[in-house]
Amino acid sequence: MKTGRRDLDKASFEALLGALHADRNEAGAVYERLRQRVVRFFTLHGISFPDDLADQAIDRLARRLKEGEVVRNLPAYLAGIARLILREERSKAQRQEENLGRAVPAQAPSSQPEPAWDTIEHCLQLLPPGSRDLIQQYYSAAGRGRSENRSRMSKELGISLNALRNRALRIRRELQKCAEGQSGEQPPQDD
Amino acid sequence: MEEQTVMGSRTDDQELFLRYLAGELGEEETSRLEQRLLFDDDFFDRMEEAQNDLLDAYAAGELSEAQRQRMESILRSNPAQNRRFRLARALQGMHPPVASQARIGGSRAGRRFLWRALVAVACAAVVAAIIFFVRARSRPKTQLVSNTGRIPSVARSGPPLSSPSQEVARPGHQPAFALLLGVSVQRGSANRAIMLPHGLRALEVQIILPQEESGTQFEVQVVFPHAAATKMVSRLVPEEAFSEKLLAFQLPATKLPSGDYSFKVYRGGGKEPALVAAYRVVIHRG
Repeated sequence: MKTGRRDLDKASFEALLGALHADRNEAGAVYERLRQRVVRFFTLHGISFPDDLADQAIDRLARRLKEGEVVRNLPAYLAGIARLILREERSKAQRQEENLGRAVPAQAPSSQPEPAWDTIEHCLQLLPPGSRDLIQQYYSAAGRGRSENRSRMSKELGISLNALRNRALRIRRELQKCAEGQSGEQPPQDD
Repeated sequence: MEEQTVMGSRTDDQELFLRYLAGELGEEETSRLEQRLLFDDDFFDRMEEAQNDLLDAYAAGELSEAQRQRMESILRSNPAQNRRFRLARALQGMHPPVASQARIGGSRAGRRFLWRALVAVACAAVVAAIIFFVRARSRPKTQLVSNTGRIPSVARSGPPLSSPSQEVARPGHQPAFALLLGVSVQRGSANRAIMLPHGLRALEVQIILPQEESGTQFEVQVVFPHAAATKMVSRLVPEEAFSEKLLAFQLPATKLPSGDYSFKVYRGGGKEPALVAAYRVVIHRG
């Protein structure tokens, strides 16, 4: 089994696998699940490159294990590392914003410029028609009408309210991902 | 009536997540919550939904004064949450799809409303068409194509140059335009060219590959207007964006004269690369 990353040495990786499960094959599967969960954790916090940070968190854990540190509660230990990395990343982002002279907006967030509707519209068009209709209908009512609208939708679709929420959540994740890509998170490279 | 989730009420979840984001939980409680975020799938989904609910409620002006103030403080200090909020605000303006509008218009009053709305829309369309026709006769025949970046999976790493909202707010300073080229679709023509705005630095070309194409590496030959020059872009790896396979690369906008371009896509790797598809676009520089 390969670590898949250049910066994690073999001994550290072996130490990590050993801590995850006695059976090496099972340990590999646990490792993959663990990594996905850490990626998801960073995604929830809106980190731009969650995969990179997840690798960083697991690398740190693996190195500690190789150095002989006794980790009694691995989830708690990994959660601690993930939080530390999250803080580091936020400070770094804050410093970058300050260096670019556009740190914290002086005005309230609600008065900031609207995102380009074109962007959302474009992302909606990339969704399969069923998903597009569902998300448009899901967010088409406000206030008290919202619950009523969603209850009606769940009846029409013949699914529970929780299942409907989960579907909407998945589609919204896709939209968020698309909108962030569309709005130019990355700089253009002149050659 | 408050909606219930399996483990607790939605408002409890929202309050918990708000306290977490605002840094109001103690060290131990934060640690416990983060462990659950990492290892409890149901809890993670609930918290993600609580986050969306909070942002939606804030965007709709439905939070209490105290919650609103905390939320604003979070959004000011957390660019990532701010980005999520912008989507929440955009979703507030969402209109139901046509099919569900028809359902809403099912009652007699609803149908009457729908008819009135349709008549109003038709009138507005006629007026808009007249204005468009008059204006079109008095300006050059060009068409603005897009003002935004790229399809998500095409994104590459690197720090952002400036915030997206600022770019949107400053016309004439667009860093990059995305130009999506579809199979068998010619973009622009001699009298309806795709207009690149003044000040544009880069044009990102995104080429949709034919559905059946299974190659793993490609080359794109860019043929400039009147075949005055060609440029080869090599080692392009297709990326998935929703159900499409895309090739993406950037061209410096300053080096793109107006005219008719063609893009020939070859499957790379072999000694004699095979032509996969050709695309055409007519560009006008602003």
